Parts: sequence; C-alpha cells; structure tokens
Amino acid sequence: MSESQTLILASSVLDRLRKRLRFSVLGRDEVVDLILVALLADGHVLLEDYPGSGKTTLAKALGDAIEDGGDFPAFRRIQFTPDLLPSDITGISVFDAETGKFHFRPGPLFAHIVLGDEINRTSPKVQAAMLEAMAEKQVTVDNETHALDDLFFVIATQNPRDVAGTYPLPVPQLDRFLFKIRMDDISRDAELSVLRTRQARGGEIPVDLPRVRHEDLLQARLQVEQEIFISDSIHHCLVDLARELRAHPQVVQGVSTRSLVLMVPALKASALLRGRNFVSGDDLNWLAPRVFGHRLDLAPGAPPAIEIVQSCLKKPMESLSVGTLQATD
Amino acid sequence: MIFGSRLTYGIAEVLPAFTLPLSVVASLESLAGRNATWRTAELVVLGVIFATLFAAHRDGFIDRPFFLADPILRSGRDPLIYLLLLGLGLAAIMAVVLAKGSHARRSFLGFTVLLLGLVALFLALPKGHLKGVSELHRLQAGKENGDQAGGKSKGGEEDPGGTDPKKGKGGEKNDESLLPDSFNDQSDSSSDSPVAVVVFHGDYTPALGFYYFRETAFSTYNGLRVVQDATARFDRDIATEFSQGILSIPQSHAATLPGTPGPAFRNIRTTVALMAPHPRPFGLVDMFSYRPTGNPDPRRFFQAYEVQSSALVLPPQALINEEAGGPEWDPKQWAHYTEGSIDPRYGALVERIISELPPNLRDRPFFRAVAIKLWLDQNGTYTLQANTAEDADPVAKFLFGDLRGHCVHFAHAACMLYRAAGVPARVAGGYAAPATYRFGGASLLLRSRNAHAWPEIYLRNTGWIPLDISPAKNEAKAQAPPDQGLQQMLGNMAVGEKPPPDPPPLDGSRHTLWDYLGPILRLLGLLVLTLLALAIPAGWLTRLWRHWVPFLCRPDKVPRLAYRAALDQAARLGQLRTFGESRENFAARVSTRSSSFQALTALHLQWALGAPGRDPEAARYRALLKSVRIELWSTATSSRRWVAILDPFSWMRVH
Repeated sequence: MSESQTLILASSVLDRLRKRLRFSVLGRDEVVDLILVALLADGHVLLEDYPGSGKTTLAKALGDAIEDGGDFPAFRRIQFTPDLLPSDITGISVFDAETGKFHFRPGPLFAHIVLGDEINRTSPKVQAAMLEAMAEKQVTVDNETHALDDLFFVIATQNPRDVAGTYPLPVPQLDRFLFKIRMDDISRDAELSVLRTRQARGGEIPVDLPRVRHEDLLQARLQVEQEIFISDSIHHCLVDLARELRAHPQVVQGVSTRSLVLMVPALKASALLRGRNFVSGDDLNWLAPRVFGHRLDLAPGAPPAIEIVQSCLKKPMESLSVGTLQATD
Repeated sequence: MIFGSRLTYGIAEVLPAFTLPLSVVASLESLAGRNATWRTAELVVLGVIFATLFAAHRDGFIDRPFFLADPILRSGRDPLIYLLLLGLGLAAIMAVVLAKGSHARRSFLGFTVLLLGLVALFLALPKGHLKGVSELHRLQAGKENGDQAGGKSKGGEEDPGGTDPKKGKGGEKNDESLLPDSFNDQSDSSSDSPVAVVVFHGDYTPALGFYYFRETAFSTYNGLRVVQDATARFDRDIATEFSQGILSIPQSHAATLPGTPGPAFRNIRTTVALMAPHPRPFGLVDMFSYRPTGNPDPRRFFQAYEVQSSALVLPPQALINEEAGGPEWDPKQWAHYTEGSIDPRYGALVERIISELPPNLRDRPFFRAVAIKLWLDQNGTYTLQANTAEDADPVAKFLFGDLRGHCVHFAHAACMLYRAAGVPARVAGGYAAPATYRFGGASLLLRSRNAHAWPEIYLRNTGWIPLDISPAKNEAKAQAPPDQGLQQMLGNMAVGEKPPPDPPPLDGSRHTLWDYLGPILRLLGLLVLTLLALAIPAGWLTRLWRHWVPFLCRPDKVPRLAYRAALDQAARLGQLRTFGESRENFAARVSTRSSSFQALTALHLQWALGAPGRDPEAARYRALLKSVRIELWSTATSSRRWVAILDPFSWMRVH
C-alpha cells in the first residue's frame, strides 16, 4: 500500500467503503471501484443496465456505508416518472399558517447519496433541475438558493431497453456525469453466491466493516487531491488523447476541456485505489474509456465509443511509456 | 536580338521543355492543397517526368547535364548509371518532400510505392519511343545540328564506351582500306578515331623506333605509279582476306644473316582487335601466321586475331652487305619489282645521288637505297597540304617539283628511285606508330592518323624491309600520343579481360533489365553488407554497454538504466511490450515469468511519474535487476536462450 503517511486516512476510508460494497453487491468489483473513484473525485455516476441487475442495491449499500451527518440523511432515492415536477426533487416552499410565512421544505436531493432511478423517464424540465443541482451543488427555489450537502453524490440509472416514452439525456447533460457505466452480466460463480448468501447479506453488516463518517469522507477527498502526485507527462498524455479523439474521423464532437479537468481527480482516486501515491499510465488506461466514452458524439456507423477511445489512447500511451525511459537531465 | 540568334534558339528550345511540366506540376500542387486526391495525380505526373528523363538517358538521347556527363565519359565510363542514380536520388528527395505532409508511416509506404512505380514506369516506356518526343522538342543531339551531345553519344574520339563500330567512321568507306593511298590533300583528315588495338605478347622494340603494320603492298607498275598486284602471283606475303582458319604466310627470309651472330629475327606474337572494318588483316612486319580469335567484346570490336611475326632485331648496319632480290627469283619477278618509269629524269637523279657515294660502296644495293632515302630526307618537306592528285603524273610532279608532300608522295617517289637504282622495291601500306607510344605497356592503340604508306626494299636474307623516308622539314602538326589509360584498357579488353566497369553502349539496342538494375543492386548489396559488417559489432558493443551500465553509473541514473537493462533482457528472451501498452500491463504479462520484473516496473514508475526528489535506491534496483535476469533466463526455452545469446540487436526492440 501507499508509503505516504498522510494518505492513511484516505486509504482506510476507501478500504472500508470497498469492503462494505463488495459485501453487499457480489460480482461487481469493477463497478464498485468506479463508483468509489467517482465518490472520491467528486463526480457523479450514470449506471446503465437492465432492471434487477443490482443498481439500486449498490446505491443503497453506498448510502448505508456512510453515517448520517448534520442535517442531511445519508441516502435518498428518487424514482423518476414522466409526471414528476422539478419541485418534487428540489423541495418546495410551503406556507406556514402559524407564522404566516413561506418556509422551504427540502426535497430528496438534500442527502449525501442520491439515487436517481430511470432518469431518462422524466421530463427534460426535471432533468435540467437535477443536472443543475449536480453541477452547482445547489438548488434554487423561488429565487432562493439552497446549498446541497458537500458530499452530494448522484448515482443515476437508466434502462437501455424500453426507450418508448423516454427523454434520452443529451450529450451536454451526459457531460456532467463522470462515468457512464454499463453493468454487464455478472459471472456464474458470483450469481450463485448471490443466491447462496441472500439471507446473510439481508441482515446486518458485520461489525468489522464499520461505516464511514461523513467528515472522514470529505477529508479523504481533500487528501487525494493534495497528496497524490500527477506528473506533467500524464497531463501531456491526457491532452494528446483529447486531441486524438477530436481528430478522429468518426468522432463528430470530441471531449470537452471540462471532462479533462474532471478526469484529473478521478485519476488520482484511481491511483489511491491501486495503492500508489502517483498517477500512472495504468490509471489512464482504466478510466479513459469510461470517462470519455459517453462524451463522444459519433458519426453513424462508427464502432463503439469505448473502442475508439482505446485506439486513440495507444499513441499518447506509447509516448508516455517511452518517456519514462528517457533521460530527464 | 538581345541574346544573339544561337542563344535565343536555345532558350526557345529549353523553355517549353521546362515550363510545361513546371506549370502542370504547379497547378496540380495547388489543387492538391484543396483535395488530397490530386496529390496522387501530382505524384503520377512527376513520376512520368522522371521516368521519361530516365528513359531518355537510357536511349542515349540526352547526356545532360554535360558538366556531369563529360568527365565520366572521359574517364572511360558510361554516364548512364551515374545519371540514373542521381535522378533516383532526386526523385527520392522529391518524394520525401511531397509525402512529408502526410502521416509518417504512410509517407514511408508511399515513398516505397512511388519508387517502385517509377522503376516500373521506366521499364514500361518502350525503347526508342522517345525518339519521337525528342525530335518533337528538337532535343535530339545528333551530329547534324552540331550539338555537342551527339558527338559524345555517337562515338567521338574520346568515347570508347559509346563507340559503335558499325556506325563509326569506317562505315563510310566500308570496302576500302583506311590507308592513305591517294595523293590528295590530307590536311582535312583531322579525324583521329581508334582503328585497332594491338597487344604485344612479348617485348620487342624495333631498331628504327617505329612499328610497321603491313596491310597491303603496291608493286605493279602501271606506267604511272605502282598499284596493287592483281594477278596474285606477287606480294604473296600479303594476306588477301580474313580467313576462318589459321593462315600461314610463306617466310621470305633466312633465319640468320651471314656475318652476324645470333638470330636475325625474333618471333613476336601479337593480338589485333579491330575497331574499324578492314578488308584484310594486317600485322607487325613480317607476319607469317594469322589465326582468328574469338571477339572478346562484340559491342566494341569487329573482330580480333592473333598474328605471329618474325621481326628484325638487327640494327641497319648489319644489312650493309646484303644483296638485293631473292635467291630464287626468276627474271619475271626481278622485272616486276624493278620496273619503273621510262622518264630519264629518274635515272639522272639516281645517278646524281649515287655519284656522291664513295666508289667502293656504289655497287652495294643497300647503300644505294640508303643514299636515296637520305637525299629524300634532306630535300623533302613533309606536309599534308600537297594536292597533286589531279596531276597526270603526281610522283614526277612531286619529285621533280617542290618535293612537298605526305607519306604517299614520299613512298612512291622513293619506290621509283629505288627501282631506278636497281633495288627491288614496292610501296607498303598499313599503320606505323612510334615505339614510344606504347609507354612501356603491352598494348598499342592504332588510330586513323597512324595510317601510313612507306617504301620497302627486298634484300636477300631479310626479305621485304621498310626503308622509310623521314623528311627533315615537317610542316604538319605534331601528332598527339594516344591516351595511355584508354590504350591500356582497350588492350585489356582485346585479350578478353573485363573492363573495370562494364558500360553498356548508349544506343540502347542490347539492353537488358540487368544492365540497369545490376549495378544499382550490386551497389545496394555492397552498401547493405558494409552496413551489416559495421552494425553487428556496434550492436554487440551497445548491448554489452547497456548490460553493465546500471552497475557502473551514478546512483541517480540507476532507475532508468536498470529498468532499461531489464527490458533488454526481456526483449532478448522474446518479451516485448506492444504498441500503446502501459508499463503495468506489460509487467503483469511478464510477471508469470518474473515477479521481480513487476516490482522493478513499479519502482521505476514511482521514480518516473511519482513526485520528484526521492532517493533513487540504487542498491534495490540493482538487486531487482539481477533477479529479473535470473528469473527470465530460467523460465526461457533453450531455443530462446540461443537466440538471446546471439542476437546483437535485441536492445533495439526495447521501447
């Protein structure tokens, strides 16, 4: 594990969260890792899979792993429907007959972890409100701005099938999600143990897997940002990758600079997850397809976005690898 | 006229030839800037231009630029290969420049394709098809317009490689000998083309300082002058024609001379290779055997033959006691060789000359003849500008006139005087060259200027010997000796030795693909071999250096060098990172063979990508490197190990 003394807290937070999530959700280790990276990197996650694949379980387990702190509950879930209104999620000002004043009743967005189920089923109006909250960490109701929790972390889901009557998220809105994760079928063994351990997991989480305090999580975020070193050659590699993607003939709209900015903390979190105190090419290799894949606007007939990212990554990755052998002085 | 007519004409010729391709290429270039498809068209047009130029050189129409072609031609080589190589180099530069804009890998591919296309185009252009093109542009450099290039490509004097014997100067007087047998003015015979090369297979320097090569003889007096014998009864020592087999010519002299020690003659073997057609063979006097040999180089020589001659080695003083005429001669023969003009002036002149001899020598034929020769030497003037051909009796006009003439005049005059003095004489024709022209080498180049006629007398024991006149007064320009290197090279070729480079002729009629590609491929092969010979030791040294340097260098350099050494070891044993693969991925792949490699990779990345200012931990690196080497080696197959031991370039695959 990391040699750096200052990263002990971040490591232990990460470790505990990972263990708890892996205990609750079987066979989804990579998804768990990605969600933890997003959590530490202050990003949001869009899960895309069929019903019953464990999306909600995962989100709930994450919310469950964090101790309630302050005024906000640890976990809230919003089931998006076509008739939902923005005020249903942000909160509403209600008239208090006793005081004769309006006073704000916070909606479900006011929580540490928010699960937005089937986000593509609701109207663009609600989607916009949701996305504003995600980007600004605040909601505005009746010209009054209310700050959300510092930790505020959204796990949105959508079903790739059953698209009739849905409002697909446009690319600019997808840009606000750090990851869009496809949850593939889990392995046979994992599925078997899901069945076998159903009862045990339904009960209490073992005592040796304590919850993580809200403050610790925020502190861990800070540590990751400050203590994990990112070399300039990684920056070079990132920018080169972005340029390759934009120049790709089958990419209509490449990745934004914002996504590169979002990428940096994600890379740092990934480094911590892999026990390093510096960002390496391996982190980029792992995260680039997941971060950039859903941000590309592809020409018709193009191969899957992940493949394009992987092919564009080769050249910058090669020069990064070759660069490590070059004399620095 | 600003430039003068000649220059204006030249500019008018050259301008269209340059501006047309230039404008086409320029417009294509501007189109290519808008649409990449035009780039292809541009490359094709450029390729055609280059290929046409190549083919033009191949067909011998253009030997431009002259400042390049002329020195090469002068050194006896064909400029074609050099010009081709130059053009290829230019084409390569052009292709690189053109393809530079595109992707690096693709440009290399495109460059290769372009070169191959050029070669294919060049070969596809039909031979001779450019004749039309060049005539169109009036670029043909023939002799008719006096262009310099024509002289070069069609067999100038200094162009042995391009000399085409069939089109040479001899072609015009094909049935005639090249010999001067007319009394015409010869001052315009400025041509000095090579006629034959003679290779001596034994050392021999004539006593009189001149080699005589007899081709024909004139001995029948027709009332005016001596002409060739038409009866085939006389002059039997002259070969009448080229024979297919060995030809023996009867020897008319004795082996030794009475009163002189040792043999009077030596057998000399010579090889003659003709570069101009001749009606009959000629050889060093006295030729007694002729044998045709295979033509060593049909592109350069007409034919070659070997001659055995018995050459007189005695000084002239040894001949003073010789009687005239052969012992077996019958009166007819005597009459044939002594018949002369009835003009009394001859007899009177001879009387006058001989009367100056001491009385006891007046009866000796040799002295009489020598006295006549010396008189002619003293009083004659050698000039090429004598024209007495129209005169009824050119010999008398010369002899009793101003005594100004060239070899034909002197030879005939001397012959008539010798005969008047009772010495059997005839005029021989052939070639004469000073012994110094051999420069001590074995070969002697005969040029048309060496053509000569000289008088001969018949002495009892020596047979026909030249008794040439060398006038004291000479108005002709001194003759330049032949080029020594050229003479030597032609001599070597005549005896079947390969010339240093094998220049193909410029007429293009007998070219094969190998003529062009052969030298280029040989050059390339040599280059590759040289590079390999240099590269293998260099590769080994580099490999050794990279192997040991992690243990020798400063600690702060260890992380990089030790990891590089570990990668070298992996590459040697066939473990290579693929393009774009991260270092961790590669380490994970190799970890099944070497767990230390993964640790070393992590350590290295920590140093390369982690926060700076850390301790390099040289000792740890070195220890890990050692174990990486051992682990990788122990898990490799034995065949892999052999490859690893021998491969000097494995480190080049590390990246």
